[in-house]
Amino acid sequence: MKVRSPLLAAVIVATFVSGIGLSMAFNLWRTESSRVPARYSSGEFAGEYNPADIRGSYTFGDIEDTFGVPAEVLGRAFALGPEKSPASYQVKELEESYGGLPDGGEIGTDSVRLFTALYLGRPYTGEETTRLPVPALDILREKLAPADIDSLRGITVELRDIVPPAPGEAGSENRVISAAAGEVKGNTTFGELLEWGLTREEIEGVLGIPMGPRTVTVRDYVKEQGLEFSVYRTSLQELLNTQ
Amino acid sequence: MKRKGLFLRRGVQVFFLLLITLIAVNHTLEERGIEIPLVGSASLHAVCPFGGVVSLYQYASAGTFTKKVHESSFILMIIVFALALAFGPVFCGWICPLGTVQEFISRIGRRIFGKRHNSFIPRAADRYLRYLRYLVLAWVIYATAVSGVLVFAAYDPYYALFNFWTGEVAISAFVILALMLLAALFVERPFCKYACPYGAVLGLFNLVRIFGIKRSADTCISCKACDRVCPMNIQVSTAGRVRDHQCISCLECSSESACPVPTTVELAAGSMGVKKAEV
Repeated sequence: MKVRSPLLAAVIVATFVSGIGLSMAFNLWRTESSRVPARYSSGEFAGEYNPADIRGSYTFGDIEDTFGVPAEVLGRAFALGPEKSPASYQVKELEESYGGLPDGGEIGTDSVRLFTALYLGRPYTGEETTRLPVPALDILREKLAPADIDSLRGITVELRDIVPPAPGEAGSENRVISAAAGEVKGNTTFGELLEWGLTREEIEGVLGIPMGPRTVTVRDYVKEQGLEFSVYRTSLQELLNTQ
Repeated sequence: MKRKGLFLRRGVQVFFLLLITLIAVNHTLEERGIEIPLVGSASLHAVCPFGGVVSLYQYASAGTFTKKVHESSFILMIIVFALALAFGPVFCGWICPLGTVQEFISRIGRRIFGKRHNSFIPRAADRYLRYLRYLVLAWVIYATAVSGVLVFAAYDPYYALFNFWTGEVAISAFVILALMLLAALFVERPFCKYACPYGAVLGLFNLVRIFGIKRSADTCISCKACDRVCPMNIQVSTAGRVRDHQCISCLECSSESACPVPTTVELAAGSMGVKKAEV
């Protein structure tokens, strides 16, 4: 049996079209994250969703669907205005909504991770610069012991202290670019660390594992390895500061 | 009529090149609130079948995909594997936009260097260099499995070519893209031959494909036109059935294109005349 070019061309195109079409028909064709976070693999919460895996692309509605924290509660905790729909509000929008904090902290994706973990009573250590707005603390009062609430006061921010972004100011992605060089943040990549003067050996000395690809953020990389970013962030920052 | 097959392949290549370009552009536009109608806006990773391959380990061990890889990559991987099982690496020869771009650049190279084009590298060295892509493949699969991230993105000229405007491309990928385009002036499909990990995977299907490139020794006049035109430098003229791991099923060697004798070099299954040898 022989196959000539016209037939081969038709088969190639038809296979792609029918393959993709069928997968769409069976709801298998997905080009975006399913927004299903990872689960704890061991320990007391084994099998439960891990707040550490909440991504900026998740909406509060996604968190409600997976973690069971009502989107409306998240909306109140992070003081969304009445014009915003909590269910469709993306976590990463927080960084755009809140401007810089006077103490260098930030209210963003990690704040949602921390709040969700505290709300559900699951273990999670936030990053050093992670802050929670006061309404979040008010909600957590019903969930946590007074001593725990007291320990959170140091990372709680009064809404009046928050500097709103200037009109027309770019969102988080652009703020990444304008972030001061040498400031290790959640979106700092290995490439940036190298550009700021650290060597591969120095980075690996801090991490204790081989350095990740230049384009990958340090936070994502160490989390993939099951490590806590906040620990390494401090060490890397100290290393940069000594240069 | 003789070149009809060639034009058909070009048409399919240009179609997929435009499709991927539009999807990549649309993905950027979508982030800015604009969208080209009727064109998907998936990320480049989501429509790359190689993403499925590098995710296999993580999927098997943890049930999850490598970051930025989605179900669509797996489905495309299955489609490409099915086509490769039947016809060999047609993805490389008919679809891959990076291969298409290399071919376009090589056309310029052919005008500059004439018959010397695609024959600069000594065959003795070239024979071993062709296995480099398996080292690349092994490294990519290992590093992806260990890190859980798409390590190859930082070196991938395909990603660089269709994302150069986004600011997300590593300098290393730009350098490799530039070197690849430059090399394509001298050599046909240099990345495919020496470095492409996906080509390495698909090349293995040449050993088991159902429809193969077959030469009829009964009618062959040994003019070696098939050898001269093969972009991958395969010596079709000495083969009964081409099993070379580098074959991309482009059919340039076939009687539809370069071979001057009808029904002598063809894509066929089963027996076809007298077999002389397999390469």
